[in-house]
Amino acid sequence: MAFSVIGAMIFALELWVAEDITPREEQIVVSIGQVEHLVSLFQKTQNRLPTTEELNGLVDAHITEEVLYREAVRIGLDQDDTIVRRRMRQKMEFLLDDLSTREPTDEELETLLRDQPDRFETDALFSFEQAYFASDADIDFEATLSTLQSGTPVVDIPSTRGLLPDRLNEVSADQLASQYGREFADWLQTQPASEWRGPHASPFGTHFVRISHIIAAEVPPLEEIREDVRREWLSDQRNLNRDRLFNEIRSGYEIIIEDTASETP
Amino acid sequence: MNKSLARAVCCVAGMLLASTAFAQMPPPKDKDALSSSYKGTSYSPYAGRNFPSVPLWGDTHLHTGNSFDAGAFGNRLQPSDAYRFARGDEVVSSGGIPVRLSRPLDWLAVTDHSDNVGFFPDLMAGKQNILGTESGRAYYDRINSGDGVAVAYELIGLFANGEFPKELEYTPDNPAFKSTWKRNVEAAETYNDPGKFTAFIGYEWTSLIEGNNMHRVVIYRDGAEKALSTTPYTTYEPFGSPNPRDLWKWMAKFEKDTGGDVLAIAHNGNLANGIMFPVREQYDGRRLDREYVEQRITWERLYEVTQIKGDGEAHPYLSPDDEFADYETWDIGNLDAVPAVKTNDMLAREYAREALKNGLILEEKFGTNPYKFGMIGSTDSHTGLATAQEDNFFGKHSGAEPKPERMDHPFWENEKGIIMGWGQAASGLAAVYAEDNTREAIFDAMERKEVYATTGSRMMVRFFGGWNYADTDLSSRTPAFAGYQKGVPMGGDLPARGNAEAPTFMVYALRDPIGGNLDRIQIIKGWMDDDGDTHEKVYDVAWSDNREPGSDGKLPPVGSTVNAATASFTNTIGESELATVWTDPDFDPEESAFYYARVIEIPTPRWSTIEAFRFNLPIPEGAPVSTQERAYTSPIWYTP
Repeated sequence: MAFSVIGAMIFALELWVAEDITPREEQIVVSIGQVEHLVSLFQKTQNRLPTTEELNGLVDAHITEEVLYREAVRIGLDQDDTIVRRRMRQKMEFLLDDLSTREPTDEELETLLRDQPDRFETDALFSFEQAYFASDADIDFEATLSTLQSGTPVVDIPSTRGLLPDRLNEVSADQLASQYGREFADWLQTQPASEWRGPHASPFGTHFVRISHIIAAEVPPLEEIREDVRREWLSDQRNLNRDRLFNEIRSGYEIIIEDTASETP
Repeated sequence: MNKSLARAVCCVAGMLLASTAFAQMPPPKDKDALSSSYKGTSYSPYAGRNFPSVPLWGDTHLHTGNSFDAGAFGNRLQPSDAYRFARGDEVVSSGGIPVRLSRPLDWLAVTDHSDNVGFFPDLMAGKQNILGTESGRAYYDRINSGDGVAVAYELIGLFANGEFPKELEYTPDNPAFKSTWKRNVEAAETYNDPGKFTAFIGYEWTSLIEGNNMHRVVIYRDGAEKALSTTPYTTYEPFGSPNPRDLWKWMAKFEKDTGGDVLAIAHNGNLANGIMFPVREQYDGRRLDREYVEQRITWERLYEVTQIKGDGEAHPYLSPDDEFADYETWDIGNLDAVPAVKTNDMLAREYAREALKNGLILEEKFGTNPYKFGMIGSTDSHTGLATAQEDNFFGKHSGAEPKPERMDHPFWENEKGIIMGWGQAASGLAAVYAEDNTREAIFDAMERKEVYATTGSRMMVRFFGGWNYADTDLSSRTPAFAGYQKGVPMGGDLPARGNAEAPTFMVYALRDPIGGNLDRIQIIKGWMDDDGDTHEKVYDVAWSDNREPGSDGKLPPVGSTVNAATASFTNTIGESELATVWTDPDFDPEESAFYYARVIEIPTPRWSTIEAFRFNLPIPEGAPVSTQERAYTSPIWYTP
């Protein structure tokens, strides 16, 4: 009695939902391979084998899922489900990525390096000493500059602040900008080496600097940075290919966009 | 040799050593000649020393389109985009807006949810035919009337209550799940650039207990080989569990079987309705025991104290005397789609300061302090973009990326109150003192808790504890030398007391170069008395503008230069750097205690004020006009 009620419900659901219904495949086989697969999945997370009870639970859950999945597909629940649609889109995108990914040739890497060297240029590195004062310090800046230039050590000049280091070693312009602000970093890079220069303001006060050493920026040869160039090449290719492949596939469809505005009387 | 030349030689030696990995220095022949109060291992104080001069900034908690909810909200960015953005590249947000960080981060962990990784219903997509089920049709109708984000919340609510439609679950048994984990790991490997930018492998274990947040992020010290040998732990049976004790078991097994190293970081105690920091029993009724307290602190050395969904350091109900305790407070309920109402008795087991105090009680009881954690901030952003700066805030999820309406939509609502879109906090970041920018060095620094949290600013903070710091240490060049020599950095335990009267703390901070000046530094002390009761006190220890404490003992506010109409401010108040050596005036050597520093900036425009300016909108009603960004260091503990 109950069975026929359920049957009637499903029948009614089918009428309502689907246009084409495929015949029911009534046999579900849980093969040894399938069971082994379930065990290995369990093992992968829990790093141990399941107990008998757990394994029975896994098989039960698998059967429930398989039964409901087949019924769902049979009555067309996978159609027009945005969850499924989004997942399919993502799988296609992953597939396109996988299909279109190939390793670059040396020549292609050389070309990328040659055409866009700024992406691979190392940072110029600055080593310098500094003396700095509070922004509102009452300091004779000209006199201070002379004192520094005459060789007096920073530590012997009164009123210099000490929380920032007296000496920075091989910092890049970006690191300098992060720590002192872009404006100060830009100014420092334009100063000549081996001379005390200043005063110049930073967010921390008024600074005098003496650059002791500059390691110039350079574009390393390919053999030194092959991994980086390869990564950038692959990333560029992925974006290009995705667009190209999608457009190719799309060209097989005729797309009509209805204009709702034209329908208003 | 004269003093300056000696200093130059020492500095060069120090710098040469700083650029190589730390190595054990053999004792010098003249070791016996060195005085016992000098802590250096060699005559040259820089030899054998390898401490960093600046912290490394990063985010431990970020979601891409591979997280089930992020995808729902429209996130189309992948882990590669997230790492590129963090390292300083310009990317295009999911909403089509070009975006770039003001300064690169030094490291990032992409931590997508381990449950249902791979996709989430994108109910924003158009439909051609009506779905056959009634609920499906209802969802579509609501999307069409502009309600897509609310629908996503509902589905999150179903997940929170274990009612997520079974057929939609993606669990480790699904090949798509593994493939997404593999993709995340591969992205981290691709963008990990030792010395320049660190990309951590990680995931979020998304435990929800009846809507109460028990999430942890799991971070790997290791690379792909170990990370791929198991799949991440989830929260649905049979492959996972929502109980933290089971997560810790998984972590222990992982380390034992692979030789790898993982840690877990919890967050949003403020959305856990009282179960984040249990004192007597866990949420399932199981009483706390030795195993719990030991396991908890073994695996959870850090706590994510501040992020977009509210600041969790202190609460005004728990700390009524702390005028800074009510900061970006989210306290209406939990993480459910309609949050379950929070009651005041829950608060004590939700906020970091109270947990630190309760840890002292549990240490007395069980011999181990389960809440002896360091503190960091992170975003928990679901946009793929680690943005925490007030003028560059892209919101919690891709439905809340910059647009004129984003502030005025309710984010969460229940009988107790409402959190509007403007209520999201543009927070936080993690600062780590690591010797190198590598996975190993940063991870190790996290485990020893030499880290601090900020609410999005990049102020540099140093906090040391010992028994004989003096003002002269501050005026010595690079005080950090004295810091490490004479005591311990943030996250450490005070050395043995000997005959010292009271602990001394050296603390100093420098403002964020593009941020606001500093208002004050405070040291917050928590302790347990003889009766087993805990107490707290906030001390102002350094401040700007020559203010004097009033008759009530309180330091007057620093004032404000914020101009709401132009969303601007000036650094004409506050100080660019503050420093002090402070001795605890109320020390009792019999009482266990912790101390941490809180550094507070002058008021600057809150992101909602900046947003109103940019879109020419009124500042939302109820929204604070300004914010005082802050840093919380990891504590230093005293044990009698």
